[in-house]
Amino acid sequence: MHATDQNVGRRGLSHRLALTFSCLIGVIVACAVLLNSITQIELVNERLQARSEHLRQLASELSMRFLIEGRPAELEVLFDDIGAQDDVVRIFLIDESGSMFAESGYEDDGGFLQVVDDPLAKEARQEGNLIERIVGHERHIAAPIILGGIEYGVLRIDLSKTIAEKEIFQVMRKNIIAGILFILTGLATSWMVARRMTRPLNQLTAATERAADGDLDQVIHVDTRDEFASLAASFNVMLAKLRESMRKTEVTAYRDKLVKFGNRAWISRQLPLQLETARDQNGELAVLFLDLDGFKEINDVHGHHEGDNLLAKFADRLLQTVINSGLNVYSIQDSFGRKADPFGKDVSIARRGGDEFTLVVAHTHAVALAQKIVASMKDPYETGNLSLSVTASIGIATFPQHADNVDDLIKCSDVAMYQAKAAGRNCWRLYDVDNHQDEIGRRELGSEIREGITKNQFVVFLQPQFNVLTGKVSGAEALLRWEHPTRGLVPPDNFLPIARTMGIMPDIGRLAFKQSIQIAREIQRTWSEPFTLAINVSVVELSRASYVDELVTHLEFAALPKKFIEIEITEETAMILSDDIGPRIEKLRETGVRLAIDDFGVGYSNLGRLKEMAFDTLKVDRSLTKGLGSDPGEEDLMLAIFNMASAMKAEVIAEGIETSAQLRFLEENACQFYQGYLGGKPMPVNDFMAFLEQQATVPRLAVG
Amino acid sequence: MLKLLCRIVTVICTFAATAAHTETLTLGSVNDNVRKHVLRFTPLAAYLEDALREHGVTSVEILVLPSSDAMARALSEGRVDLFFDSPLVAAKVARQVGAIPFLRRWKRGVAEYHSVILVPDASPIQSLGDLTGRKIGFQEPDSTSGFLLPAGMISREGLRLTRLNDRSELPPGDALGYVFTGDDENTVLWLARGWIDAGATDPRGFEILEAARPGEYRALARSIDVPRQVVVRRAEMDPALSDIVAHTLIGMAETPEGLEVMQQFHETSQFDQFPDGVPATFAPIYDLLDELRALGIEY
Repeated sequence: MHATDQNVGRRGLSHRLALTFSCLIGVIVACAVLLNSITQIELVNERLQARSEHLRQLASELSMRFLIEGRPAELEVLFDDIGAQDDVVRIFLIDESGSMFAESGYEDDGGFLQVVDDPLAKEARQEGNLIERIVGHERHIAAPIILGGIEYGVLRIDLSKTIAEKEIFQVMRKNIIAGILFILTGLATSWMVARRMTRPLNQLTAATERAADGDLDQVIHVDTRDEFASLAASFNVMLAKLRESMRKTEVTAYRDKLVKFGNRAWISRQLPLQLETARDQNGELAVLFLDLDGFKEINDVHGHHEGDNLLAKFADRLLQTVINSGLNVYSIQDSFGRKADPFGKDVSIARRGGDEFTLVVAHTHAVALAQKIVASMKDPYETGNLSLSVTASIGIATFPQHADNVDDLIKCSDVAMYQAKAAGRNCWRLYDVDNHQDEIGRRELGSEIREGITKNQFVVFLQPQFNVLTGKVSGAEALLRWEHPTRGLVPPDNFLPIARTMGIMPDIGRLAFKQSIQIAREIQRTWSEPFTLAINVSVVELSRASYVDELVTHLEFAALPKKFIEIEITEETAMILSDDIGPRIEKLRETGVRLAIDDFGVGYSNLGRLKEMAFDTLKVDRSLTKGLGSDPGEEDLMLAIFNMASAMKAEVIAEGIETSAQLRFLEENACQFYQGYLGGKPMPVNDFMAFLEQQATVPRLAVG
Repeated sequence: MLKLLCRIVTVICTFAATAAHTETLTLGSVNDNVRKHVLRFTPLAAYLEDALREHGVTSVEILVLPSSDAMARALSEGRVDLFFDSPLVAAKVARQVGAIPFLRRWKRGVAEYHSVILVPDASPIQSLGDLTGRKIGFQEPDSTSGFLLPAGMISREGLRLTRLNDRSELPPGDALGYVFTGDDENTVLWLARGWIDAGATDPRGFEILEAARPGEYRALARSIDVPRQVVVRRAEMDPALSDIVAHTLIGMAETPEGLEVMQQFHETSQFDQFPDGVPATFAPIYDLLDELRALGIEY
């Protein structure tokens, strides 16, 4: 409801009560004024009636003597006095003969003795009684003067009603003024009474609205000692229960269920408050954005259960690290009781989601805390039977140096965290504004990768592999390229790391695998020589059973000859294969595909693990083939690898063969296959198909 | 009203005083109705007060007394400076205390008037002599036209006048019985009601009767003409002030304000000097008064 509407609504009852009271008072006062006016007017009329009657009786009494004695002159003197009164217009006496006997007016004796034609006097004479008539603003009275049954004349008095009317008017005016004053007083009183009656209700309404806005800490005081007071007491009880319920709900809502820290919603609520405090007090604070390194792989390899266990262990260690740093963890419960002291020792910790954590800490403690957290990560975490090592990358952004609002502060700390990762992980970095743009570019590229997937901008290039002995093409490795509409052909090193961090490797891998299978079918149709198409599969992809099932389906559908497809996994991947992934590789192999260990020699290998995998091909990394033909030490190492592969009954493909000396060493030492620019660079499928046709007609490459 | 109250208070104060002040001019009148007469005299008194202020008169007061005898005493004691009344009453009072008839006052445009004796037209009375054994109504003893003039006129015809106690008393057969009605109007009424055989009134009384009963009454006799009203001054009054007062009263007819004040003063038309002089005008009046006194008729 709009504020004005609320106010109108709140005052509506008060207005209606005031209006009702006012109407009642108005009607009552109007009736009282009317009745009073009528009564007073009746009193005035009665008084005037009494006066006219008194005047008539007096005049009659006075007239009798002079009428009988025939002394109109003396009577006229009396009539003059009577006629001089304000309300007497005229008084005169008609004798029994109908002639004017005496008349008021000092000098007016012109009508004396003349016959008077006065209808009212005639009527009074005929009736023998008093007759009254209202003529205009005058009251005309005619009264026969009778003594002993003998009529001596008729007394006529004309009285003015003007004075009475003035008096009545004054009565009415006084009553109306009094009425208006009563009504005004009544209105004011009504308004005050209505306000007083509805004030507790308005207090309750306002309290309800405040409660609806989240103010549950209020206590309503209503001192009316009536139903409103009871309602207020009940309301206070309800508020207390609601407060408790809300706190429980909020604790539940704001607490991360896994690590018992606050969650993203909690920190999103806390951080603005602390920024506001910092802004008000010109203080500085820091946001630490923490992300566990390699957690995704652990999750993928060991499953979410182990990942969750690791997170819980990490949270405990993080909590302990903060406490050991002499700082205080500002908990969710604390946030209901007091404001955080962002410049003191309070540290607000929240899990933003996944393996991301946010810490809000005083600016002065930020770097030291980050250092201690990084240092605390060196010991592995024991979860069940596993001993998992994980490190943390921490980005630090400070208010107000780096950002002056919540969103930018989080963003800067996030960027700083990626800068830490870019710097080799397991470290902390302060936000660097210069690198921010690179990060932005990196993120833009990430979104373009997603777009590229949907628009089929990723294509498979093929790099041929050769039989060392015959010099003929023995196969090819499917390598992914991104045909970007504006950036041109983007090599995998420029987008795969980003795709990996974005978690979209399976999408790209699925695309590459499908294209590769189609290419394999085409080659199989046109190339009659033995051929193997190597396709790279990452550990992330292999960790998903559904993805492996999908590959199996594609392979079975393609119905390619056995050994036509070779799955390449990196040496590093092979070493961290979990118990779950092994059976999935076996499942793939059951479709007839070969298994190759790629980039052999880069990482460390557990020969026992390698032996268990029963791979078909060992692809020696280019770093070990560079010195072939020139570096005896490297050649000895290569010979040892050849012997090891032979012992494991695996074929060897030497990568990075670019010179004839390298090839000669391979020939001399019976290496089966090679791959490198000497034989051919990665090329589009059509070029590769043309290359195959060309190879069919060209004699073996001469070495030497 | 306030002015009237002041006047009344002044009258009372003046009544209690024993000597007239030179700064105060007092107007006198004889009437039972004090209030009515004060009202009549007030405009004139105010006018004179304004007009005479420059001549040392600081106030003009009004004194209304119930009888001519009381007025005579007031004049002799210096409590009244100017006395306004009908000519025979004024003459009687003037002669009593040596006051001097001063000016003539016109009333309703009439400078002189007389008394008229009325009888029903159908009455067998054809002359004053026929009134013997009859009953006549007079106004009151101090009335010029209502008593003194007609009584004198009747007496000169040799009729004996005898006063009756009331109108129901029968007159003696050899005299003309008379009753006082109290007012010309009463006289006219009594005549109209047949309570008296004849009535003496001023010409206006006859006019009223003629208007009410046209042709039913006739004038049996008319007296000599006398001034309509007379102003008498105290003998000791400062002659210079007397002249100024006379000049002021006569001059009132020349201004609208003066005419209005005179109209309010009992319908006065103007003041003037006696055209034939005071002796010529008052000699017959004094004679008449002497005759009445000689006949034992109290007035």
